Amino acid sequence: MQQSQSTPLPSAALPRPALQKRKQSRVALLEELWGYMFIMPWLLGFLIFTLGPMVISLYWSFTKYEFPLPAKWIGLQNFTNAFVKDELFPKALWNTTYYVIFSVPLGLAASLCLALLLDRKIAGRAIWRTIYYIPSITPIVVSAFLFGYLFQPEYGLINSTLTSFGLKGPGWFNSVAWVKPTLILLALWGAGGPTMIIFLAGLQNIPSELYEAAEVDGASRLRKFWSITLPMLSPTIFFNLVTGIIAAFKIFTAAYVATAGGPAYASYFYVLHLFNTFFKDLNMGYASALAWILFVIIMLFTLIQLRFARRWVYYESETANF
Amino acid sequence: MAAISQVGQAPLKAKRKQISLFAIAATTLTILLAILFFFPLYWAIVGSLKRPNELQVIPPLLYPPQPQWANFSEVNKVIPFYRYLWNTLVITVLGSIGGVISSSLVGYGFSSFRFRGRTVLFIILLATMVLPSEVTLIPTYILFINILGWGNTINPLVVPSFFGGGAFSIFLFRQFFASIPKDLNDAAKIDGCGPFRYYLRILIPLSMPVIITLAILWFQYYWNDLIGPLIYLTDQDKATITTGLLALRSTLGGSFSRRGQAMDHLLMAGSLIGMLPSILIFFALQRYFIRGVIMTGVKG
Repeated sequence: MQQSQSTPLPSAALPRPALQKRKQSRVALLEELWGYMFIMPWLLGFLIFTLGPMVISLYWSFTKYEFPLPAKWIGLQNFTNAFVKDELFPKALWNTTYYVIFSVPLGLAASLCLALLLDRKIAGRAIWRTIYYIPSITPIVVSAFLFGYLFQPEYGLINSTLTSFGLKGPGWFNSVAWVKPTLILLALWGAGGPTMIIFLAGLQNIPSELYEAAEVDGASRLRKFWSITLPMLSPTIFFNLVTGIIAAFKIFTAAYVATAGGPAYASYFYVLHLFNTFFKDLNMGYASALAWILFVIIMLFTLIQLRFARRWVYYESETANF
Repeated sequence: MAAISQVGQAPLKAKRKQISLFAIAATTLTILLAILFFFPLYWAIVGSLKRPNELQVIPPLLYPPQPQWANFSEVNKVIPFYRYLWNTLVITVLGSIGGVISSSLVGYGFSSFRFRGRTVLFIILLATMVLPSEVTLIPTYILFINILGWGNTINPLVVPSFFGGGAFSIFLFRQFFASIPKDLNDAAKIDGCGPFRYYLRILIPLSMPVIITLAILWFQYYWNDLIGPLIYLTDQDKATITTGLLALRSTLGGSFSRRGQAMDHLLMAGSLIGMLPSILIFFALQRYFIRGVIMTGVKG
């Protein structure tokens, strides 16, 4: 279109393209208006519920804002307080890190194992898949109750069974040493949920010719898993790892319901601290700073993973190009 | 020839035997794990049918000696539990409708119209997926409670879903609409079908699988949400299933501690009622559940 504009035209032919162009620009304008109209709900929602609150919470994070008293600018004090003054902040950060470090790899391994078990010719596969999946649709409030009941130190089923074998079970949710592992077990109960399904889809996308070729070469089962399944599955593992870490950093409901952060703050996680600062202490300024620190931590972890992804994540299209 | 084939067959046979041993082990493991995963639920069912104090018996009773079906109505006498079920249903249905309608509209806008800033806006939309909701939580709370006066109404939970319905839902709709051949749109245009009619009469009926899948994801989100009802619905009457269960626990006198008669069986009954709708929907629409997860993981 632009080229025809620059080429000189005989004067007699001028009106037609000009008319066409004007008509076309009217059509384009109309299209533009329709487009804006359809995305309007999101655009308004983004401004009112995302961008606006983001700007405001960033501002509040630099203020002393103890609701309902007005906010007062204090510079970086909230951030220095977190790292210097607030004793619960390092505790919450450590508890959360512990939880992320153990629950994410264990959860991924468990989900992958379940997916491998189901990725075979097995009778009643839909039934097993359903049974594995159900824990993940159980509301977390409910699963926290169920685990609290199963792992009750005195009369709970687990410890009673251990007692009948002459063993003494730990205090689980009531024990400083065991409360985080117990919460990790609770997370592992949901390993058969979405993460497993994503692995299963990834496994089923691996072309069977690769396995057939390896079999001709006499590769062992372990070798096939190591040299075909894992590399071919690495994009799926990467996706589950990134989303898993973000979700684990934000653990809240299970701890809030099962332990309320106890005993002795042993399960006091980051978002629990943020929630208490915001909702119990009404310390909006400091809570906003905590939220931004969490955002930065999550962003850093995600960026680091993206950076290292090239080293271990295998993308088929990359090799197909050379 | 015969000798060669014999030689060739021997290790093959051995290998086949090895495979079947492996298969037996794997199948056994599959079944054992299924039992393990199902057990907490079995235990909740058993617990919900027991009588007072029967949950605390040592060694535990592996089945209810006299199933107490009345427990499921007994719960409602302790706290208005069925009312909470209704409250949750209202929020879930309205919120899901809002999310599906608005995200389909926005997805249509992004997929089928050219307008200035479309790419930039779409990138911004995708970027909001990594933003933790905690960052916007406090200002939106002040907005809803202090400026709009929406405390103890369902508005703070339901209204935002009508404004776009979240990046992920929009993304799914956009991808789906973009996969529909443009010829269909052109043909409809020639027949004098405007953009809104095209959306309503052609796109929406075509995208039923996406709609059902998203409706399920929205349902799960609202049904299981704790933080929303916890901060916005502080009035006992307005509670949902999640906050209602917490209230039930504290009413029963601390869930896992004894005080007079232990009433934990009612807590188990309440828990089962609370999760029943999720389970029923899962069984009815399993296909869409799985499909939704795969779309999330593979495309997202």
